Amino acid sequence: MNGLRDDLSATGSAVVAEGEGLRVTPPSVAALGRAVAVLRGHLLPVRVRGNGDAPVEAPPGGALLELTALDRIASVDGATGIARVEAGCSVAALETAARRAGATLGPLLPSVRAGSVGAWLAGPTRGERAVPGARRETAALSVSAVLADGRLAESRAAPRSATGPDLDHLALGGSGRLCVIAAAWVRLFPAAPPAYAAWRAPDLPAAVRMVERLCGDRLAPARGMLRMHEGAALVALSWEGPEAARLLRDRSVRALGEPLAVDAGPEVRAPASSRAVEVDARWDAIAAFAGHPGAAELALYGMHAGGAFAVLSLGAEGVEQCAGAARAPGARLIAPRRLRDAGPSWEEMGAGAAWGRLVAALGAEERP
Amino acid sequence: MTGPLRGAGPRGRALERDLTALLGAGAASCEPADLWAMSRDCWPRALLWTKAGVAPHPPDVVVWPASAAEVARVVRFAAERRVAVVPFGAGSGVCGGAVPVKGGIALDLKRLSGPPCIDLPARAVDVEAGMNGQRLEELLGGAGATLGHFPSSIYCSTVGGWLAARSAGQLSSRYGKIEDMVLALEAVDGTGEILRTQDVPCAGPDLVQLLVGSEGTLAVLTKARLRCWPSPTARWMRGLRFGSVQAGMAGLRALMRSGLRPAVARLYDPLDTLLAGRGGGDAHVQVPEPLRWVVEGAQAEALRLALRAPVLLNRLVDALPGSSLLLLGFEGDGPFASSDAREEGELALRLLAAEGAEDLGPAPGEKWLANRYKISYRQSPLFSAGAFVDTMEVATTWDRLDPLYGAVRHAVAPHAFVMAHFSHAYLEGCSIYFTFVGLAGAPAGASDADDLEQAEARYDACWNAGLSAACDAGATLSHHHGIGLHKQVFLPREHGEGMRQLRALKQAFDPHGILNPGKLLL
Amino acid sequence: MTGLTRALELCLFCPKMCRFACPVSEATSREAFTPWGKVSLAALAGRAPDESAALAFGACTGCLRCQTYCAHANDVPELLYAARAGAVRAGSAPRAWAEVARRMSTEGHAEEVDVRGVLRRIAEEVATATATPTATATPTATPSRTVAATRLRAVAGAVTALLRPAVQPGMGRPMLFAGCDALAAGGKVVREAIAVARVAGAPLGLTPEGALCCGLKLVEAGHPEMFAAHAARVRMALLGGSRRPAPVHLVTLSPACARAIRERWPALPDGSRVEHVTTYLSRALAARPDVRERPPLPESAAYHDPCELARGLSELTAPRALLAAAVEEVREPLRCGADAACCGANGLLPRTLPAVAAAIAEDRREELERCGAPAVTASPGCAAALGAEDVVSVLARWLGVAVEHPP
Repeated sequence: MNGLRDDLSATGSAVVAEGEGLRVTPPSVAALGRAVAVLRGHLLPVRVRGNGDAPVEAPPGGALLELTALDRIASVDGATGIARVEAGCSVAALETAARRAGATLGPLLPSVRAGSVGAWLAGPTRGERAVPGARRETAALSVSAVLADGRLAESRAAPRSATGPDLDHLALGGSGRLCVIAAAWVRLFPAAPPAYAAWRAPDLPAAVRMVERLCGDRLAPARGMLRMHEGAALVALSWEGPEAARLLRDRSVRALGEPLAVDAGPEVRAPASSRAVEVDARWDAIAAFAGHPGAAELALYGMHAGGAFAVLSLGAEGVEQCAGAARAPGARLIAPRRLRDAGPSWEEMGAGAAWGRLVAALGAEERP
Repeated sequence: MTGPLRGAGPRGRALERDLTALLGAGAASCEPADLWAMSRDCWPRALLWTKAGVAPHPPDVVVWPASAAEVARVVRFAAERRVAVVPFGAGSGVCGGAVPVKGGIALDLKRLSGPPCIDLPARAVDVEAGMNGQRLEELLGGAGATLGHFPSSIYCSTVGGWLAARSAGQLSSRYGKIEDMVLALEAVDGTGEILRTQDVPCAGPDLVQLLVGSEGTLAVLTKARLRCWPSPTARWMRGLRFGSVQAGMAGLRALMRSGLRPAVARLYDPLDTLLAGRGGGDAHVQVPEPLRWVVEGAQAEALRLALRAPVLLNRLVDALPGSSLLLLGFEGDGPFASSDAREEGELALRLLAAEGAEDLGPAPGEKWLANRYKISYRQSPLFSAGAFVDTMEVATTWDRLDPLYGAVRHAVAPHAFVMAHFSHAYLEGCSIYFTFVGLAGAPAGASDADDLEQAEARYDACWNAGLSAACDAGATLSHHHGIGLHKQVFLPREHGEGMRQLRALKQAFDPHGILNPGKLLL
Repeated sequence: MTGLTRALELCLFCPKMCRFACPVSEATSREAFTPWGKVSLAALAGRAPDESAALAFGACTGCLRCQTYCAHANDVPELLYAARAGAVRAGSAPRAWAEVARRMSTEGHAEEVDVRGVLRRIAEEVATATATPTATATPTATPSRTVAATRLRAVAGAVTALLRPAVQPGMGRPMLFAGCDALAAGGKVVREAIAVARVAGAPLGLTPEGALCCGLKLVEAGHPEMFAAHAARVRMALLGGSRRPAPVHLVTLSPACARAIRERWPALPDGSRVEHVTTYLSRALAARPDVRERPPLPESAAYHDPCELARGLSELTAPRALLAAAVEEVREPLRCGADAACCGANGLLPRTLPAVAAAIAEDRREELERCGAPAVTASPGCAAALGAEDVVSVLARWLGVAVEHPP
C-alpha cells in the first residue's frame, strides 16, 4: 500500500488513507490521468466523487477519486448553447454560469441538480434530459474520458455524428467502471420563462395517464407535479422553450380541457418530499405507483413518449416503503443511491461475455 | 463470361456447400451474378470500378439467413473457420462499408423482413433489419403511423443499414436521426451470441448506442424496436431568402434554439440555391452554362472540359449573387393538424423575419417536397458522362459552422466543383452537406485501367482535401453516411485516443475479428 | 450513345432506387435480381451471359412498377427481353424458354392444354346461340350502397358518357380476343364476357381460330424473331388476305394481349381499335342506364389492379366503375392503382422461377385478404395466380349470365 501511495503522490494528487482505502484528490485533469493509470495498474476498484455529490467511502482496498478540484467552467457559449466544464464542477455552479449567459441546463432531477457534472453524466440517467419533440437525449455533447492507462479520449463536439459507435457511451452511465469522465462539452437550452397550467384529475393514475397522453401527442411538459389535493389529483405542468412554451401549453389546454384558475408555477416548482425516491420508468410503472394506496406525490422530469424520470413519494411513509411501492417492471430506482436498482444488465441482454472482454480490453479489470 | 463477372473459386464452392448444409437449399450461392452483385455498395469510388468494368472485391459466397438464429449459426460457423462475414442490407451505403475487401461470406439480411409489429398507442414498432425503408413506411402508413425517417435512399435502404450507419432522414429536425428513434435492438455478436437489449431503463453503458453505427464490425443487427408516431395529416411549407448564407445560418440557429420543431429546415448556399432551380426569387439571374452542365450531367464533352478546371468553375460561382434559400416545413397531426402546422410556421416566419429573411411563399417548399428523392437519381447521368459526384456530410456546433463551410469550399475548389446545403439542424449545431462534382475521365464504355487509376487519384485528392479541412475546422467526419472504407484513414483524427476504445469494443464483441474486417480501421 | 446503352448506364450507376418496387427482388432478396442487378448484368455480360446472368434476366414479371420509381423512366422489362434474346443466342437461357418456343411453333400457343379446342367449342356455342339476349334474373336484395361505391359509379357514369359508343360504326363487329390464359383456364370467362357484352347491348364476336395468342410469351422467352413471324401470322388470320384490309376492333381479356398487339405487332389498319374488356364493357354499360342501375350484388370486392392494365394501359377507372355497379363496396389493398403490387403471373416467371412466382402471388394474396373481401381482378393470368374472380365473372353473376360449369 505504501508503494501505491508513493506512486499516487507522484501523480501530483493529494492522497490520504480513508477506512480500508485511499482518498485521491488530483489537482488537474492531467494528474487525474496519472492517478487513474496507477490505480488501474494495481487493478484497484475506483469510485469517483465531485462537488455536491454525497460523501462516499473509498471502496475497501481501492480508491476514491475526489474530483473537487476539477471544477473549472472553461467556457459558456449561450448563443451556441454549449459549455466546457470539468467533471468535478457541481451542476448547480454550471447552471448559475449558464444562466449568466442566457442559457440553462433545463429541469433536472433533484439528485442530479445537487451533484456534480461527472456524477450526472456517469450516473444512471447518463446525463439525459427531455428535448423538444417528446424525446430524451444526453446533455453531453462530447466527453473527455480517462482510459485505464491515463490517456484522455475525447470525442468531437458535434451535435450528431456517424463515425462508428458512440464512444461517449463507454463513459455515460458507466459509474466510472470503464473510464473516468474528466470533462465534457455540455448542451444548454436558451433560458426563457416557462408556461404553466394545472388541471384536476379524479386520481393519481388518471393524472399520470393525462401526462402520458400529452407526451404521446408531442406536447411533453418540461416538468410536472402530480399530487393529491382535496380528494382529487392536481396536475401542475410547465413547458419551456422561448417560442414553444406558450404554444405547447395552449395545445395541452386544448387536449385536456380548461385548466384550473390557479397559478401553477409554485405548484410545479414546489420542492419534492425528502422521503421520496427517484426512478427512471415507463409510463405503466409510474401509473402503477400512482395507484398505490399511499401514493401522495409524483414529480416528473425528462418526460418522453415512453416514460419519465419521476420523484415518487408516499407522504408520511419512509423512503424504504416508498422504494418498495416504486419497484415495478419497467421502473429502475436510481436515488437515493443506497437503494439504487442494478436494473437489467448487459448479462441479462446476452452480452455478459462481451462485457467481460470489454473490461479486459480496456484494462479496467479489478482485483477480486 | 466477360468483364467483371467471375466464377466462384474452390473456397467459395466449399463455403456454399457447407452453408447450404447449415441453412438448407437456396440459402447460399456462389453464382457469378450473385458474387458480382454483392461486390460493392454505392460508394462513388466503387462506381468508378464499375465504369472501368472491374469488380475487385467479390465475396466468396453469398448467404441469405432468414432469422436471428440462422444469422447466429452462420456467424458461429465463420468464427470457427475464421472466415470474414460482411453484413449487407440493400447496398446503398456510399462509403464502401459493405464491400467485402477480405472476401468471405456476404451476409444478405433482406430475408429478415417479416411483417413489422406496429403498436401505435405505445408509439413503437418492432421491425426486422432487412425490411426495406419504403415498404416499412407503406405498412406503417396503412396503420396510420410513420417513423418519420425519410433518407433520400428510403427506396433502396434497409432498417438494418440505417442503424448500422446512423442514418438521418430529411425530416430529422422533427423526428431525430435513427439513433434517436431506436428503443431496443437484437443483434448477433462475432461469437454468434444473440444480444437483446430491453426497452426499459437499464444499468451501465447504453449497449444500444455502442452497437448503433458500428457498421457491421461489432455485431450483425437483426431486429429493432423503433419509435413511431401518428402520420401527419397536414404540412405547411415555405421558402425564405436570406441575403447571404451566413445570414441564413444565423436564422437557422435562431429557429432551432426557439424550441420550435420544424419537420423541414434546409438552407442552401448561393450556388445550390440557384442551380437546383429552386427559384429563390432569383429566377432572373442567368446561370452560366458550364454550371448547368455540371448539375444536369448534360453535354458530356463540354462537361468534362469544364471539370478540367474546377477552380474556374468555382470562381464563376463566387461572382453569382449571394442570396441563400431556406426551405421550411412544419407538420401537424390530429384534429387540428392544419392550424397547428400553420401556427408554428407563422411563428417561425416572424422569428426569421427578424433575422432578415424574406418570405417567398409556399412554392419553393412544395416543389422541394415533390422532388425530394430526385437527388439520388442525379448521379447516373453524371457518371455516365465521365464525371464523378459525391457528397460529404460533416457537422459541428453553430460557432464553428461558417468557418467549416469556408474551409471545406476553399480546400476542395482546386479539385472539384462544390456546393453545399445545411439540412440537419439541432439546438447546438448543424450538418453541412457538400456536393462535389469532379472529372472522372472518359465516359462510361471508353474507360480502361489507366483511366481508372487517374480517376481514383482525382477522387481521392478531392476527398483528402475536403476531409482534412473538415477535421482541422473541428467538425465530425460524418453526420450520417458513416465511415466504411472510405473515410477510415481519417478516423484517428476524429477519435484520437478513442481509437483504443473502438478497438476494445472490437475485442469485446468480435474477438475473432471476422465481422466486416477492414472497416473503421478494425 | 444509343438509347439502349444510355438506359443500361442509367441503371448501372443508380443506387437501386426502384428496388423495393420490384416483386422478384423483394421476394428473393437477391441483389442480382433487383432491376439494377438484372440490367447491370445485361450491360456487363455483353454477348456472352452465363446461366446465372440469364436466370437474372428471367427474374422479371414485366410489371413496370420499377418505372414508376425511375426518374429516367427506364423500361426495365424491355431491356431484359433484349438480354433474354442474348442469352438464347448464347445458349445459356433457362430450358423453359425453349419449351415455350417449341410449343408456339408447333401449336401456335405455349399452353399445355388444347386451347384451340376450347376456342373452337366456344365459337360453336356462340354460333348456335340465339341473337337475342336471354332474360336475366334480377337479384332480389337491395342493400344500401356504400358512399365509395356510389361515388365511383357517379364518376364512372360521367367519364364514360363522354366516351365514344362501345361499338364504332364502320369497323365491323367487335371481336373478343380471348387469349391463351383465359382459354387455358377452360374458357369460363370467355363465355361470360360474350354473355355480359350481349346483355350490355354491345355483343362481341370471337376471333378466328388462327388468333389464339398474341405471342408475347415469345418475346418474354427471348425469341423476338419468332415473335415477329407469329404476330404477322395471327394478324393475317384476323385481317384476311385482302390487300386493303378493313379496320378491326379487338377486345382482349388479358390486358397484356392488348398492349402487345398495340405496341409490338405490325400496325393494324387505320381506324382499328384494341382495348381491354373492362374499357369496352364500361363504355357499353354507360350507354345502358337500364342495365347499369340494377341493384348491386350484396357483397364486397377487393380489387387487384393487373400491372398490364394499370401501368401498361393506364386503365384504372373502367374496372372500378364496373365493380362499383356490380357490388356494394369496392375495397383497395395497401398498394393499388398505378402503384399496385404484382401477382407474379407474367413475364414467364411462373415457368422460369416457379417458386418465386408462387411466393409473390402468396404475398399479394395476403395483402388482398387484409381487405376482408374476396379478391377480384381483370386479367385471367392474375385471376389464376391469386385465386381471384375476374371482373367479367362478377358482372356475369350480377347480370344473371354466369357460366357455372364450362362444357
